[in-house]
Amino acid sequence: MTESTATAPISRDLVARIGASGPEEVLEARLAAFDAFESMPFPTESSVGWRRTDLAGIDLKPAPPAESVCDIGLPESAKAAGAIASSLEDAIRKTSLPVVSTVRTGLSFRKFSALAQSAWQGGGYLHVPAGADIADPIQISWKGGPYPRLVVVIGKNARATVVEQHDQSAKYLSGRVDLILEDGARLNYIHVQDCARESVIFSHQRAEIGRDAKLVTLNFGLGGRLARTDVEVELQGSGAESDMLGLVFAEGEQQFDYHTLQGHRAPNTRSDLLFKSALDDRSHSAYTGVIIIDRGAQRSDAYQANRNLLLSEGARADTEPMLEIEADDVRCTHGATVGPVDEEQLFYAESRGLEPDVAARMIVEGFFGEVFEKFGQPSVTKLLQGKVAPHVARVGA
Amino acid sequence: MAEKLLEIRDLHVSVGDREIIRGVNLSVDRGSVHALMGPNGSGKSTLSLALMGHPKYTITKGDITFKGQGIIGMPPNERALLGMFLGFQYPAAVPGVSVANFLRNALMARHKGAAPLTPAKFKKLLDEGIAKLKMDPAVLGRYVNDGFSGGEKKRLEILQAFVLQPELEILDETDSGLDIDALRIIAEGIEAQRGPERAILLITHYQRILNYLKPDVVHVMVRGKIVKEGGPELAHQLEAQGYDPLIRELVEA
Repeated sequence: MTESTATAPISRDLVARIGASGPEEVLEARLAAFDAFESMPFPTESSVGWRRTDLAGIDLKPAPPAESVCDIGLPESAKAAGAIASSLEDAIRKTSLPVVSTVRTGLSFRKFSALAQSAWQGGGYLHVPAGADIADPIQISWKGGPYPRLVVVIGKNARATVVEQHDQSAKYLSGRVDLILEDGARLNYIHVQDCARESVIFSHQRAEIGRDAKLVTLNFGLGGRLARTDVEVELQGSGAESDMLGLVFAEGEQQFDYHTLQGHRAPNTRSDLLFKSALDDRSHSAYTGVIIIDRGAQRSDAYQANRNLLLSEGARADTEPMLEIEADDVRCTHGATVGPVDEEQLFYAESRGLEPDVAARMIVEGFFGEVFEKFGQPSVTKLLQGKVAPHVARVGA
Repeated sequence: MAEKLLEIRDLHVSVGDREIIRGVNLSVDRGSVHALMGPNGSGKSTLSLALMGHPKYTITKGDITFKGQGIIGMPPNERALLGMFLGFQYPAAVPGVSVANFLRNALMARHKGAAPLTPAKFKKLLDEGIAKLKMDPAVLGRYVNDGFSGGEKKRLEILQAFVLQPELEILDETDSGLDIDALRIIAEGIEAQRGPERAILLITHYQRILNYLKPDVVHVMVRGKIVKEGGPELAHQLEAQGYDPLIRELVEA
């Protein structure tokens, strides 16, 4: 595949036309992102960050741009608290909103994420004003275009729960999410990826967390032939915290590739990551977890765990931690496991009368259940447990 | 004559190509309490895991019958449904599975075909066991053995026996690593299980639990063989003299 045919559906001119209706600074950001996309080579199996991915039979060719329609379901309590939901384009037009700077920052060094930053249309914007405390989850879903772009801003000391669902049937999807937590804010965010099993899916989430703010995320992956997800958390204010959870159930020939960043940029910051995948058939998971603790981020605490359960002999998992720690007074722990359902756990359950397949299902359910329980809010994760159930039912059968 | 609940004849068990159990004969009557004692490494735990059907232990020779039925080759879950129970020395942690959920699953397996307990009756049963073993009721919501102290693990094993009501309880060093108060509570919990319908095979290194729980028969195992059998007085003798005289006797013989 040559570069010109690979990028044929999209060009700098097309990006310029897409951005022409918006403000100049956003157009510049789009063009810069497109230039970044063009400057990075198309990945092959020998490219950095792609060596564990099997690209045979996978078409990375981007889709032609089209409008992504974002449906943000604001519950009454959110409306009453002054939350604002609109398309990202509309939000940019209203200059009173703190959105343009977000759209301009965080230029991706990931090729396909840069494309999403350049070619998005429509998009979604959610703003929860300072001090608002919204208990009911805000549901976000998407229709249409291949480049969904979402910006969520949680104002000072505000609290909210957001569930973003992707279940598009498109063959190609490259999304970008920016989560901005102002000082003291608290956001629980779930990203559900349940797209068509033959799709190629890129997702890049980037979070900026202010002083004493806390972000809890749960990335839930079920869909896609190849799903490459980047989850980046920047702990920018002192006392900022993030719990990062991930859950994948893969089967058939599915490949999941997660890259996470726990970026400690300020003192007294805390991050706790737990990514789990259960892999059946000939599926494959690759996980790369980066922890960066800047020189000035003293007394920070970072934890990272990646657990992979191999449910068939053909399944594979690779896991790689990468630590860049420049401060000396910090705690940083990481661990990873790859293996089949534990024989001692199975024997223990079987010795209590459980049939081997029932025992295996209970253990796999528990493997997932730990993540749901860590997230809390059972009324919100119930939907996900329901999605996992038919897959767990296959275990041992 | 009492019914022979468990009968082990000339049992040989290997792990890999190493023979650990080298010709054990042992029989346990319904309604009785047996203590199986012996120094560390004598094969006591191997015997208990082999009795329950652990896949790592290969039976190379001999026979095991439970309730008159040969159980060699029988899957562990079927042994459990037949009425066997193993209290593990080192029970596995099962993260993500709560104690209540685990016990509910075990009971459901046991009631296969029949109507399982109502939620209210299930709760009552658990509450009763928890009170008896002086456990924190919060244990029901915790993950099975995950982050449990040694004493908590042992109590959970006995709680499971209380809920599942097996006919044969094989308790592998349920008394090890306990302080004196915990030992008494657990011993009382085991004593409460004693009855004409049940047999208990208590595997222990020490005599001290037998102060609370008087065995009918004491077997001593050394190097994969039962070398001595007797009544409760044998346990006292071992406590006073240690295992050394027995081992010397064996070497000299």
